[in-house]
Amino acid sequence: MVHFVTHLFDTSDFPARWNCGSWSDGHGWLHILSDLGVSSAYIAIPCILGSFVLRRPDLPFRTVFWLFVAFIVACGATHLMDAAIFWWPAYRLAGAFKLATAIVSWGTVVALVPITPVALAMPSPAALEREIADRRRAELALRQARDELERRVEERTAELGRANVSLRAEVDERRRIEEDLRQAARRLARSNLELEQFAHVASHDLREPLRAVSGCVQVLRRRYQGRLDQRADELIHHTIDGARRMGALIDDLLEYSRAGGRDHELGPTDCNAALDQALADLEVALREAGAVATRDDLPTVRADATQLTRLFQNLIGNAVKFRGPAPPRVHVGARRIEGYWSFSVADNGIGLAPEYSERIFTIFPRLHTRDEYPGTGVGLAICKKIVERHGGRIWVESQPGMGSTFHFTIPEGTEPDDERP
Amino acid sequence: MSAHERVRPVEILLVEDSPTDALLAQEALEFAKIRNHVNVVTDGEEAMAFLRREGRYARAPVPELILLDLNLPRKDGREVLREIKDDARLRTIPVVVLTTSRRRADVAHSYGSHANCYIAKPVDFDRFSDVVNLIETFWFSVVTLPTEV
Repeated sequence: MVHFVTHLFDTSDFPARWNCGSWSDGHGWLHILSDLGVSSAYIAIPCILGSFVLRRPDLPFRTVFWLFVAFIVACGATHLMDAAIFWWPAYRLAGAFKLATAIVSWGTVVALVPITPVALAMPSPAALEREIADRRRAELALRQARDELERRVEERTAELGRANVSLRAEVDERRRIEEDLRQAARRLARSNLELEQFAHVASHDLREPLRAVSGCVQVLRRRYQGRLDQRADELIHHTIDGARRMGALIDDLLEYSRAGGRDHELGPTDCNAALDQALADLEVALREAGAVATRDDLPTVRADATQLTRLFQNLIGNAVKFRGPAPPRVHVGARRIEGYWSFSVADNGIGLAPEYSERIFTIFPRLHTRDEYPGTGVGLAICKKIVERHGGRIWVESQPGMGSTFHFTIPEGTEPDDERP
Repeated sequence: MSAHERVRPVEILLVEDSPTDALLAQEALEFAKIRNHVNVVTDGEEAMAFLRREGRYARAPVPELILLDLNLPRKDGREVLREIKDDARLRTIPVVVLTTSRRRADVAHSYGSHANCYIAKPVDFDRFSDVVNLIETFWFSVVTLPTEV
């Protein structure tokens, strides 16, 4: 082995191939030229391959390509040696080249085997091109769809924007209205409170000088009793009476201003009990007039008991006060109509003309002089306020000389006006 | 010795700021059956000075009955009531709260401050006169006062 390597270029034991056998010139040069042709091609091809590989760094299977370069170069070298051996019989070198070629070639085979399926799997350029075209089409379709979507989104956004603007304007408008309403409610509440305070203070402050006038004149009457002439007595009488009526008026005005107020919540109220209370309060007047009061069985309704008692008291008191020649008879009835109760207070008194049937519920003036019938003209106005606070109506049916029937309604269960939102 | 056997008139202190009301009260008291002498003061400070015999009231008589209005200037009647009933010497004098106020709060606080009774002044003078008569009859004929013992 060592001998082989040290004598790689030793040609002493071999003849030049020209001298080995009977080579004709033509035959000899056929081998020589063919081998040169092959070896030169086998040099050129790897050069081309190599430069190709060098210039395409992304080339797959680079190792295989270099192996090809190697084994082709090696093969070219063996052919070159075959040609050279005609003059230079370096058979040991030629053998070495051949061995190298065999090794590299088999290396290539070994490298090729596993990559063959991989190479087979690689798509052909045509397939790649088709795929690219497909992808391009898909991309285009996607872009179109996206543009369409964007357009629709813009449209919808613009729509929403417009709707939002108008909605906001409406909300602002509502808020303004709400605020106005709140302010109006506040003003109203303030005004009501002021009115009530005014009425309370006025009546209180008006009573004081009235007491002074009334009291002093009463003292005068007593001090100078019998010592004054008749005219003086009459004047004193009228003064005292005037002061008394003024006191009653102040009381009634105060009561009117506070009537139908919300001092007490509405709750279940037994009308029979309220009527009993009213009759008890009127006991003296009823007895003196010889009045008889009858009633239907009355229901329980949602009301303010105090106000209901007052209502009955005013109506029955009127029935007694405005009586005819016969002893007064009053009947209190109740009827249930869809959604409310309708009450009636019927009397056999003097009655009134239908054209006055609305005016009597206003605060002034009265239908009679005070000589004919006492009173301040506020009683029915108070009744109206009470009924209206409960969400009902009040009216009268009457003819002169035929008695009167007062009707009023109280809703059942539904919200009265003071609790309506 | 009952009031009928009295020789001297009963001393009454009237605490009232309104001159008209004071006049009417005096009229009513003049008309009463029992002889009486009315001292009038017009505000709370004067009332306390009178009762304590301060200043110009050094020789003031000790009243046997106090008629007290609630709404007074300078010192309010409610405070006068409290001061009288806090004072050991003065608290034995009967105090009749005589006022135009009918407020429940005033009634409650007056009795709470140990007023002997509370009377809401009637608006009508004749009835007021009757009430004054009743007050006098009650306190000076029916009742035994501490000063009589």
